[in-house]
Amino acid sequence: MKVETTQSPAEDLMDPSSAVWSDLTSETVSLSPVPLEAQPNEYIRVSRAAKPYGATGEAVASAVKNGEQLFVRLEWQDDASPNTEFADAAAILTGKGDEIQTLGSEDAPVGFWYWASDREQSLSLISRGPGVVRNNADVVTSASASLDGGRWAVVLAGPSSEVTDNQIGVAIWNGSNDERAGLAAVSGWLPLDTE
Amino acid sequence: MANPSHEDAVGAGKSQYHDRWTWDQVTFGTHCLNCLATCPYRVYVADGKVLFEEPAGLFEQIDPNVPDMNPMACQKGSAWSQQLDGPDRLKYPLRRAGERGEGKWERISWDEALTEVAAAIVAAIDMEGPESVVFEETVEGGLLTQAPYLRFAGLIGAVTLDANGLINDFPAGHHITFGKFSCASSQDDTFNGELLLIWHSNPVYTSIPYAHFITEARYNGANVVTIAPDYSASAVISDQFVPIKPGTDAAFALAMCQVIVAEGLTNLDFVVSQTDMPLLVNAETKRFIRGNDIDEESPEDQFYWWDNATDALVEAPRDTLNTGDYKPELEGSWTQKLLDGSEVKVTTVWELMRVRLQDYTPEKAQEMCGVHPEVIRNLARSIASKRTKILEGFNTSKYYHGDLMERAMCLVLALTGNWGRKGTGIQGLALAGLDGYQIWGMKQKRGINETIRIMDGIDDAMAQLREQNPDASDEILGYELLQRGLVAGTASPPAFFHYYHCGYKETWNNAAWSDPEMKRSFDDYLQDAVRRGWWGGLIKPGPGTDPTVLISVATNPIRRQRGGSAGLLETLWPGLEKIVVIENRMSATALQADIVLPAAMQYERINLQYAITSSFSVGFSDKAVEPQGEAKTEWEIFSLLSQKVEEQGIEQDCVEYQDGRRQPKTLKGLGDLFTTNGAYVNEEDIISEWLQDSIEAGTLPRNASLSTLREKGSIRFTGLGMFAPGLSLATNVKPNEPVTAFTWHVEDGVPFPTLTRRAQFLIDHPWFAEADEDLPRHKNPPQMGGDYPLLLTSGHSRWTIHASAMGNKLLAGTHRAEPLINLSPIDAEKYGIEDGDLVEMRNDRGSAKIRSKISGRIQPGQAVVYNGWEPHMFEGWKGPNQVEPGMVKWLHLVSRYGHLRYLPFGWQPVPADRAVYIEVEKISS
Amino acid sequence: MSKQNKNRQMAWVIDLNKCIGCQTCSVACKVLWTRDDSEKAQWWCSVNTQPGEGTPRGWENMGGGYDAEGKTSQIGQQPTPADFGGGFEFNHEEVFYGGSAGKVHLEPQAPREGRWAMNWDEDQGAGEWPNSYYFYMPRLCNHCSNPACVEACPTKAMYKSEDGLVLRDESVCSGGRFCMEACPYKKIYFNYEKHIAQHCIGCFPRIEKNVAPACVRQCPGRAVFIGYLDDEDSVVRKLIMDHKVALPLHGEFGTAPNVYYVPPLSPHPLKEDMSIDTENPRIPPEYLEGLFGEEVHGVLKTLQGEMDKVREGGSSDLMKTLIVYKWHELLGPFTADPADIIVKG
Repeated sequence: MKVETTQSPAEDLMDPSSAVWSDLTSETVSLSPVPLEAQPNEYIRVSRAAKPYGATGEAVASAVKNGEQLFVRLEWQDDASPNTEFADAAAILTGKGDEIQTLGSEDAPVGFWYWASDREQSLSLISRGPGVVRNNADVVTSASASLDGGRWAVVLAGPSSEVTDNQIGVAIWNGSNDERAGLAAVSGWLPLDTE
Repeated sequence: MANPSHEDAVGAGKSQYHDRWTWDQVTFGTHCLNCLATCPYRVYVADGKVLFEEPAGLFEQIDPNVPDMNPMACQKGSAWSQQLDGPDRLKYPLRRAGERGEGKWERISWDEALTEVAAAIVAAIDMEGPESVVFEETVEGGLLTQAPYLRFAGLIGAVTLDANGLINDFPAGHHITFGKFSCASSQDDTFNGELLLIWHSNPVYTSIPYAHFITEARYNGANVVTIAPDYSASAVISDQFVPIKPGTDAAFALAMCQVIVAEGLTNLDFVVSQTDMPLLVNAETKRFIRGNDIDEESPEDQFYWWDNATDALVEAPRDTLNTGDYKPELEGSWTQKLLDGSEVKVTTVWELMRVRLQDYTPEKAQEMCGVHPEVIRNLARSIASKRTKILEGFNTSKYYHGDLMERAMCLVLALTGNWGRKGTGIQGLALAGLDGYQIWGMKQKRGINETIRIMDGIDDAMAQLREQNPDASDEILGYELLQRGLVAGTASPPAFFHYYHCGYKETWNNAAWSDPEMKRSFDDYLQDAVRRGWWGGLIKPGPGTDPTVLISVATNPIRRQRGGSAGLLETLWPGLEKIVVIENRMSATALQADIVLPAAMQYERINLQYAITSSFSVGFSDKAVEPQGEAKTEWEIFSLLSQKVEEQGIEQDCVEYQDGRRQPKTLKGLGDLFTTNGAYVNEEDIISEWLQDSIEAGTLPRNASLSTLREKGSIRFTGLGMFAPGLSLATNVKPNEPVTAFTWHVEDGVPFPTLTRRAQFLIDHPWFAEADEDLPRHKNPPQMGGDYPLLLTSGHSRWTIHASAMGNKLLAGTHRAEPLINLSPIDAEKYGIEDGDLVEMRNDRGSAKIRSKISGRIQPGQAVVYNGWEPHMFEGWKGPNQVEPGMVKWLHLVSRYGHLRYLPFGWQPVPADRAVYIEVEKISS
Repeated sequence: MSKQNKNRQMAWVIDLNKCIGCQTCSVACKVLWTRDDSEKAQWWCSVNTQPGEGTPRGWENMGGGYDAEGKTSQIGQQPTPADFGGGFEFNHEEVFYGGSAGKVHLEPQAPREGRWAMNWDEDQGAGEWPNSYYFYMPRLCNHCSNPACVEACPTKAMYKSEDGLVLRDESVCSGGRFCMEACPYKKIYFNYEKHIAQHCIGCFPRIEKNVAPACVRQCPGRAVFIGYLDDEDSVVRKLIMDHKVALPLHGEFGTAPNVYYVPPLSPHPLKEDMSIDTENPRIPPEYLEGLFGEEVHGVLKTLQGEMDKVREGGSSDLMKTLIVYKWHELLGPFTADPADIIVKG
């Protein structure tokens, strides 16, 4: 994914509908469900065996850098059903290793820049497997979102120093399908083409 | 499965709960509510704010064979802290800015508020006399809530409406029988019972702190029987449920008496020694043979029995219940020559009773009360063989014919020897112990010398009375002493106030709602009673004085008043110049006031509560935090008001005036008089004085003091003291046993304070004879409210003490948080009502809209609306008292018949609110 | 005391013949732990009338837990805020100060449709008068020995403490709510502001100071006992293991709960002619069996038998134990007075 450097102010970048974003190249990222067998406990495996999750097949991503901050805009089609108990959510994944499909592992944790539609603040998390997350107070992230015609557009921002091996990942949770924790759709590592 | 690797993170996750359970100060507190339980709590404070409270749990076990009192708590007490800053809390003085009850207010200063109140009081004194200033009495809020207004009212000569005549916790039938109504043992004595009859009460709702003595007695071998119309929450913890038609308990009780007598199960020795059963009556007139029937020397209140040894009429001793060498006959009839030369047939009360009981065979009673004859027989036999205690609340007294129920229940106990022994008697109310509070009212200065002066004065007065009544007990003399002070006091039985000033005349004269056996109209009886001077000096403000200022302190007449808005709001209110409410929360009455003055709540001030026989300890509440907003204690408020009234008196040129008895009064120096020239400013000093003087009076141990209370939270009483209501328990307080009432009567033969000096079942007053109520009997509840299919009963709810906790949002989460009418599924179906529907309940008196709750525990034909809902929780602010006529039984107008005479909290006409007929109709879902 | 022996199991015994449904336990718990506005609908401890729908509404049919052997996870349903109900706001301000002159009355500001609350069906019970029946059942977290919630938690925020409490590190909880699905007793709430689940903490800050949990120490009915199961002297052990009169609730849920119940006796019902039907109990035995399993019949027999023995003048260790002559007997090793603890200042 091409990552340009911009001088646009952060406020503009944090607006998903800002003109800044329409000028950038975007990329369609394909996602697939975190494997059921990788879910962290029997309860989740049993209870979701007959209830598929992670059906958000793709998202459109674009990224831009401003100083030390990396801004990533994601856009995807939400399903039409009203969001009730669980929030729609998305995360930018940072890190390395082969275990992005399981949202990291004990030995190869990944970082989450995490946005959820029911939270005012974005979170920074460390994920060591599906749903196995801890807060990561060391990293400050921010997010903003808009919902238009059933499409979410979300900008997540974090320190570009967190990005290792010049790659990021994307995960999306469809709240109305009771998706949360490890019940997500996740991409593979996306190499960043930084200017 | 412990996860020690987790511990670092866990520490962080746990800290917020450690923080929540952190405080910087602990004090004792209790809630001084009208449950009168005064459970000792600890109050936990951080940064000047109450966080929570928790029962202190410091009671020592006093008897190794009886469970201790701990923890003593209930959900209301454990959530009190949540009310301090609750949504109904009053924090600033308010003046109404619209029409009365419109809900428009302006905040004013204390100075403005008190000046306005004082000006109105002085104007009322000037125009109508001090008896036009009327206080609604309360038993809510603790002694330091009540003492200030009583003192103030006394100083200016105002009227205080007797609280028991307002709230109707006065069981007239106990008074008729025993000459007193206060006869409960301490709550732990329940454990000593072998048979517990939960009868006309629902302790699982209303006696939460001590309900464990019932379940524990059951494990200790007691049989627990609940007699109630509905399968109540108390029936749940019982061994037997006796469903009864509402209002027919007298029939049920008398049927058990019939069985006991017919089967020869009567404890004859007990009946002979304790009751009027052996006393002789004229067999034809059914009047007692009295001294003046027999010879010229003997007084009218000398009674007789027939002595078997000498086969002659003999004076029944008046100074003792012991029969000594006499062998009084219970059975028989004899011919006796009277003073006027006539010869009459005489017989005994027992014989009359036996005839009366023939009307109540179990089969006949079943027709009246619906209880199966075998149930009646078996329970009667059981009572006759077991230590039986009736756990009675304050429900009977709220029935029109509650006195008949109570008299019949007393008869059951009398026939079976069930009072004055451990685990027996009637568990109702008892007030005793804090004699220092009584003495303080008479003190003209502080200190022990003044106490001794007053106690000496009382001793002298008692000695004088004893000379006139050499055969009287201390208790009887105590009542005599109380009588002397009455007319000079402020207390008035409120029935007359309601009759003359609140528009009850029409209602009470509605023959269709009254006992059909009344021979004359209510008004006829009332005028007769007044003409005879039976209530002389007590009817105030009288018909010629217009009530002008109404002051309500910690009480809530608008919610409570039987008859709803018609009496107070529509009749009394328009004539009042000023309505003043002193409260800690926006009550229904505060909403209808002109001036609302915010009072400090418990935890924000120091207080003691009524000494009663719950734990038999002083209830103490300390000041933990400053009052919210500008709230003040009642002592502060009335101290300031006294000064203001004095100022206004001078300003309005109304300083010297006459009180209702035409005695001169002055407003000069009122401010100083109130504080006894500055002696009582600090409320801690007042409490210390009450404690100190209670030690002197012999009701508290030597170490009783404020600092002891602050160390231990409560202090157990050591004696009943020197004043009449306390002495009515008639027992010694032992350090290592529960308190059992009436042992003086049973063990020591001390006479009862009745006309006959015995537990009295025959009332040979002509009005009682005319009503055929000279002996206990059953009468159905009159058709109050009109001819409607459902009988409305009530009781205290589980969730609040009256309305006090209705604004507690946390407690509101433990129920539906809106008024409910409980209906049986059968009636609900009949009227097309489903659970949760909005229903109109109505009768010829009025109507209210209320949500339904449907349960198979309710008896078909019965409807239950528990007490405590504020009118403003109903559409149009019309609550369930709209359908209560508040009828008064005419017989309670009788006075000057032995013990049937007014006593504060005691004998007086009181309104009935239970067993009202209504219909229901669904309004909406 | 709790520190001396790690990995112990605390247990509660609730005597349903002493419980009077007063909600003091619920209130005591709430005032201490869930006073925050975000927690207003939470009742970690709740008391319900049985038979009834309970808290949350219909919880017994929401699944979760394991099979009866405690092995295979059962799919559970997450109770919704509507199932829990409550947390009402009121219109005090408008009624008191809004100048409505009686046109607006004080009432919960909640939709009427489907309205529910913690104790909504209080005292409704089942059956027809005069033979209607009901009793009260307090419920709190069962602090199970085989806790389905702990297993279902992906973040491992939930764990068994050394006292056998099921606790949650709220700083770790990510709000996944699998615990709420997996718990068959539905005693876990979600805090939608804090984005974490919350449940009974077994009053661990009190336990650490040897103070009994609030639901035990504040129970006016003296119905709740607490102690360690491995403590030979503990009353809970005596009631559960020696007298065998305390039973787990829905043991078939397979989580090995540690709140035990002494099942309720009841007055005999009445026959059609209103005489007493001494042959039958009022509460249908099959209903109690549905709650407490087959053992309940034997337990009720034991209780009634011991009670009758005392009535006939005999002595019964079981009855004496249940009477609780001294309050401290209820509190197990946790007899410290909280007021004696200097926490701050």
